[in-house]
Amino acid sequence: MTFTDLIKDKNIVKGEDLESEALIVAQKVLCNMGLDFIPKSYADFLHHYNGMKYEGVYLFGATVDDDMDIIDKNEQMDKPENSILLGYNEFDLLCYDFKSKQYKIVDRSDFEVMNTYEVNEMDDALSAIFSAQ
Amino acid sequence: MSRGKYARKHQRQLEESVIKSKRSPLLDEFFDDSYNFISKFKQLNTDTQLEIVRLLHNIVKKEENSPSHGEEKHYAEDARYFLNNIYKLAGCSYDHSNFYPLATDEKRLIRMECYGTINRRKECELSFLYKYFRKKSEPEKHQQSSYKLLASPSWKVFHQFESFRSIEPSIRKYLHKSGIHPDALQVMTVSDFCDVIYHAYKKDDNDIVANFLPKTECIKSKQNRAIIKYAGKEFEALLMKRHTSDGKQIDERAVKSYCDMMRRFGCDDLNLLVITERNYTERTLNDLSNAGFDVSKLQIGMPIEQSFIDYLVDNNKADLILARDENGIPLSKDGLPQTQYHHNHSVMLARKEDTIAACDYPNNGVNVDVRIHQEFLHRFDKVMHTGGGVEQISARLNIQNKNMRVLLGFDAEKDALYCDLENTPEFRRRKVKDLKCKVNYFDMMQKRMQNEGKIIEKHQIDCSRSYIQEGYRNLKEVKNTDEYNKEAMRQVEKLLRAQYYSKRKGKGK
Repeated sequence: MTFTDLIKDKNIVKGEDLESEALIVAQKVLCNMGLDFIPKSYADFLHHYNGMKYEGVYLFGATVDDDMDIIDKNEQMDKPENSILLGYNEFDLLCYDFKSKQYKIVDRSDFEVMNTYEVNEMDDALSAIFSAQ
Repeated sequence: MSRGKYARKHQRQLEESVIKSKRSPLLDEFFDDSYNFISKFKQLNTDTQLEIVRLLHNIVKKEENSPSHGEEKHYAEDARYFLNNIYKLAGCSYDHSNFYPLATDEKRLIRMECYGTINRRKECELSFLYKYFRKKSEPEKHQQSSYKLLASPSWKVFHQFESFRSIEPSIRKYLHKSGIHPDALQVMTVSDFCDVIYHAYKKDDNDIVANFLPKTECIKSKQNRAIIKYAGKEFEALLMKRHTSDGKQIDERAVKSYCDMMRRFGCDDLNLLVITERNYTERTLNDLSNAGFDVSKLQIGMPIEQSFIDYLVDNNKADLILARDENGIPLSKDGLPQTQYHHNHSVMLARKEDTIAACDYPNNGVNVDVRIHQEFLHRFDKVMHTGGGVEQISARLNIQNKNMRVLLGFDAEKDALYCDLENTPEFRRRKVKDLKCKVNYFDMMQKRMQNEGKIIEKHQIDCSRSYIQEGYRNLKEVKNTDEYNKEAMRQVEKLLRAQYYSKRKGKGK
C-alpha cells in the first residue's frame, strides 16, 4: 500500500494546486534562510499534494495556507540542524537532512532520530509521520 | 507578469536581504500603550492575536540571534514583556526543565498507545534470534497457554500500558497460529514484538501501518468522549459563547450536533459533521415522509428524539433532518472549533512520573484550537543539549492548570474548560494497575540479554556475526545508564566474546 493509498479515503485538507512559480519561491527563500532545496522526491509529491493536513498531521507545501506553508513553518519551528522541516504530528517532525540526503523522523521534544529513510523511501517516511508509529 | 499569491505572501522573505526589517504598524499601538496591552489584546480576534504573537516572537528571536543596543534592544525587552503577559493570559508558563531522555523504544510505545497504530518494521530492525525462531516456526505446534507473555522482559515494557494489556489475548493467539517457539519470547526485543503486533493486526500484506486499536479507542477519541461525559454541559456552554466569522452567535443546533458526534464517536472532525435539526420543521417532515417514514403522529416544533437522530446519522440519512437557516440553506459549520490533541507535559518528562504510561493519561491531554496549538503553544519549543551525559534541557510553554481540558482561545478564564478526568473510579483502577506493572526499561533489557545465553545454549543456535555486533551494541546502550548491572553484563560480555572467538576460529579453519 503506497502513501497515496493510505490517505485515499481520508478527509484530508489539501493546499491549492502547486504553481511552478510557488515552488521556485519556496526553493529560493529556503536557500536564503541557509537551508537547501526541497528534495526532488518531495517536490514531485507536491505536484500531487501541495501540503496536507489531517487530524493533527501536517505535511508542508508551497501553499498560501499558513498551517502548511513550508517557508513559514521552517521560519517558525525549532528543528534539527542541516534539515528542512517537511511536516509533523503531535510527537514527531518529518525532516529532510540535506547533509546526509535522508528523510528523518525525529522526536519533537529532543530531536532524537526515530527513523531514517533514503530518498527513494520517501513514501515510507510520509506514511510513518502520517500514522505516527 | 503579475506575481502569484504565494510569491506575494513571501515578498518580504524574497527581499529580506535588501530591506531592513521594520517594526510592524500592528504593534505600534501596543508599544505606545504597554499598560493596556492585555486588555487591548483580549479584544482582538484569534488570527490577529496570533499575528501579534508572531511579530513579538520575531523581535525577540532577532535580538537573541544578534544582540543589539539602543532602540532594538528596548523593543526586544518590551516584546518579551508582552509575550510573558500573553503566556499568563493563556494560563501558561515558559518552563525550562532538565530531563533524562527516554529510551527510543519507550518513546515508540508511548506513540503507539496514543494513536493505536503500529508501523511495519524493517527486517534490519529485528533481532537475529527472533528471525532465527521465526524461520523455524511450526504453525499451531505449541499450546496457546505456553506463550507466557509476562516471561518476556520486552513484553513487560509493553505491559505497562493499558492498551497493550488489552491486546494480550490476540497476541497469544497470533503467536500460537504462527508457531514461533515459546522460548523466543524470552529473547525478543521491543521491535520484535512490534513486528508480531503488526502481523497480528495488518489487514493486508502490503500495509505500511496496522491499527491494533479501533479508531474510536485512540487517545483523542477517548478524551473527546470523556469531556462530554464529565463536562458536557460546560463544554456546550463554552461553545455557545463562540461567534461565527460574521459576528453572529453560533447556532445551538450546530453545537448540539458537534457534541453528539463527540459523545457517540469520540470524533470532532468538522469534515464529518452533519448538523441536524433538533425539532421537526415543515421541511424535515416532508423530507421524512417522502423517504417513506410515518410522520402522521409528528408535528412541527416537536423535539426530534435523540435515538431517531442517531438512527438517521448511522444509516446515512441525516440529510433528511439537515438543519437549515431561515432561507432554507444548510447551516454552516463556521464558528465551531477545530482542535488538536496536545500533550501538555511533553513525552520526554515521562521518566519523572510514576510510570511512563502517565504520558498518555487524561489529565496530560488538552484539546487546543488548532491555530493556537501550532502558532502559540509549540512556537517557543527549544531543545538544548548540554553534551556529555544524558541530561538535556528543554524549554516549552506548559499549561499551568492540570485540569485544563480544552483551550479555544487566548483567555484561560473565558476560552477554556476545566475538568479533572482522573478523578474517576475507572482511572483510579487503571493507575493502580499501571503502577503494579511498572518496570524499568534498562533492567528489562539486561534481563533479556541474560536470557540470550541460556536460549542459545538450549537450542544450540549457531550465532552469526550480526548477532555478536547486535549484542555489543546493546551492551553499549545499557552501560551508561544508572541501571547498569556490572556483574550480570560481564557474563553477557563473556558469552559474546566466546561467540566471537569461536567464529574467528571457524574462519581460521
